[in-house]
Amino acid sequence: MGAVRTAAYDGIHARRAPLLSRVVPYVFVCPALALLLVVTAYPFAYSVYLSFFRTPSESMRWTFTGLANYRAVFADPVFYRVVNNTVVWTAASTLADLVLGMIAALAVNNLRVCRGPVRAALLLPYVVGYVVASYAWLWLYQGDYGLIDGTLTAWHVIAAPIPFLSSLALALPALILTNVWKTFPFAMLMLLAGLQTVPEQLVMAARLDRASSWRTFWEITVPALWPVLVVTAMLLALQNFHSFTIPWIMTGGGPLHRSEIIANYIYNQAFTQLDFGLAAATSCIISALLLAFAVVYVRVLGRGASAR
Amino acid sequence: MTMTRRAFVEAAGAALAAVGTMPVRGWAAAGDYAPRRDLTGELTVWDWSAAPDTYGVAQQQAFYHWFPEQHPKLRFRMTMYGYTDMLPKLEVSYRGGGGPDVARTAIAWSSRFIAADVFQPIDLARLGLSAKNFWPQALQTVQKPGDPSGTLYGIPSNNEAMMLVWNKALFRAAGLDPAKTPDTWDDLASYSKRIHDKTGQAGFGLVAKLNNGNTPFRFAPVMWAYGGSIFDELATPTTWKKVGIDGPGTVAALDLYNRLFNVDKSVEPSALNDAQADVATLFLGGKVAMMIAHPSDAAQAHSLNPSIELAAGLLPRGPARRAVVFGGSNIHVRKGASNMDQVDEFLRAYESPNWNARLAGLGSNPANRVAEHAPAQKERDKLLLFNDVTFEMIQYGVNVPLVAQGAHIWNETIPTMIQKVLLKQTSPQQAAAEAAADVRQVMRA
Repeated sequence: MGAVRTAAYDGIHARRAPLLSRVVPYVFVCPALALLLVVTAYPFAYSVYLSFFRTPSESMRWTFTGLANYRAVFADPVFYRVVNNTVVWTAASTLADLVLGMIAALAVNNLRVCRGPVRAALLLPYVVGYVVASYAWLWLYQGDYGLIDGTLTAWHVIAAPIPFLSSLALALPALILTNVWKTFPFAMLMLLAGLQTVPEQLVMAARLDRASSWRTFWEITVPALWPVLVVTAMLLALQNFHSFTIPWIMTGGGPLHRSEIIANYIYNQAFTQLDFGLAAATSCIISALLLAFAVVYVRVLGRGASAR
Repeated sequence: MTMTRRAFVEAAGAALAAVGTMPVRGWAAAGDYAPRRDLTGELTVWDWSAAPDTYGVAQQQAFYHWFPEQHPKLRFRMTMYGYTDMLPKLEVSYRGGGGPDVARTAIAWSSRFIAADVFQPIDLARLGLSAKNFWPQALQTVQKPGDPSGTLYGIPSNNEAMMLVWNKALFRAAGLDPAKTPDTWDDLASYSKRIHDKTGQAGFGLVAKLNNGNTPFRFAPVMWAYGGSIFDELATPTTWKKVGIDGPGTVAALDLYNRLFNVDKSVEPSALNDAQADVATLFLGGKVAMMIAHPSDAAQAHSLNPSIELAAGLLPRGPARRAVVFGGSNIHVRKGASNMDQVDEFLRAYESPNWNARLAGLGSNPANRVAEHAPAQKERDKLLLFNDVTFEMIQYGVNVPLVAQGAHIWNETIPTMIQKVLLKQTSPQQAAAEAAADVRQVMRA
């Protein structure tokens, strides 16, 4: 009996099965989607809403002010300084992370002995907490008795200590160096994993054709690594863009905002000056900029992937 | 017998904690506060921790353990925040229409909430207290600026002032009398230069970091001493409406900073990036001879480096006056709190002389001046270093800007003004003028 199916049964089943299979995935996605809505979409929408209100310190009431907060942000010269700092910080850190990460990954990949210990040593900065790293570097840079100035002075490289963190010109580069030290192991880790997927036979073939190491690297390794490089660069850029701890602890954004980056700026607006409307407007502006960057980047990424 | 620094700190901490918890029952039995054990209802309190003051933390723990114990029928909820967390938490909760029934805030935070009409008036008489119990400056911090009624929107919980601390060994090495404090700010600059020239160490620890509350706390006393002001805080009555930061007193104070940092170079070169904790570390290592210190800084310096020869004196005076930032905290009651019986009971306990003395920790002094003669204060005196000095400084206390926009002026405007001068970006006159423009803009906005 079970084997006997009527045409009517088959017809109904044929209609129902696709519907069920269409619905079930949504059911499974629902919890994650709900969580995402609560922890991401709602705060984002609320920030956009808040950015149109004045939240004055002398009153608990909000006043709708339209685009006044946005105008205030664009009228603040410090904002442009901070955006400039953030672009320099993100670009320099990401580039240096990738270059150093690539060098370290190639070195570790070619090691025949002690690969484990060397890899562990190179990963050490990555596992050190941001606060610990910031304080360690703060004392390395310390203008009076820091190790760097002390050593350079003792070796007669410099006549007087260099106040790295209180210099208008050197504060940001000094912080970028600290950030690169902290984040390049991530690039190394990603690229090392990528290097291990580069087809060995292609490298061997290039060698048989007497291609130089440099050419092999550019013609074989880099193209094979390209998707990993693109993803790593994007992750690092986002991570660097959102940095907060290192500048906050090491300089507080000083001197004269020369080392202040966007996360510190927004934090100050919100939690030091307690101007939530202004902070929300700045966040929205930055989100829009990031979104534009992400769209361009995803297109580049897509092109790279399809080329591959 | 030798003792490692770690062992000393641990032993000192344990001793202080023991002192903190041991006499709870004895002092409570002294009769200055009689708990209403039948009190029912609910009470929510937010406070911030006295850390790193070990003694202060022990007192807070003892009090918040003891108070609900005395009121077994009261549903008592207390949340202890870190100092830096408390302000944003309060701001967000009050803006959201919630917040605790009772909250303790730093003086600098009170004015914004009072201006925003978040707190309800407090009647001292109902608590068995009067205005005479408190420093006049302390009462000013819980009033609405320019309000002739004198209504209090809070009650001072503790008050303190800073002092000048120095390393006697470095004074001796520079040929200075180690017992003699520099009398004027000019003297301090001369002392600083002499120490630097003779010993190679920084004569004075200058704090000039951006976005750092320590910076204006140490600059304002110099500015006031030279007759400068941010608004009209040196006038009576203070209106907080006239912007005066571009006056000659501020310029003179900036000149002094410039002399110390750029001309004499007698302060630490890292001053532009130094918070008080950095200066204190250098002081502990014998690398800085003088610093403006909080009452607890001296005790901490002594416990971390007992070999350092500490001395303390009043902050120097200027041509106009001797001045210091009037520091401390207030307790406030949320407007609309319907459980006033419970609130009053808490305030009575907190302000009772023995508890008020103990809860001041080693970093402050009791706000209720009756507590200066409480048995607990006598016990506390044994633990305090130079309390007579900081206590004497309180009378010279001047309030921070008691305006809702104070946080911006204090943390952004003043440090920026100082950094412009120290980095030679502008002249002191120009920096002061730009600061005045910034204050006016913030106040207009």
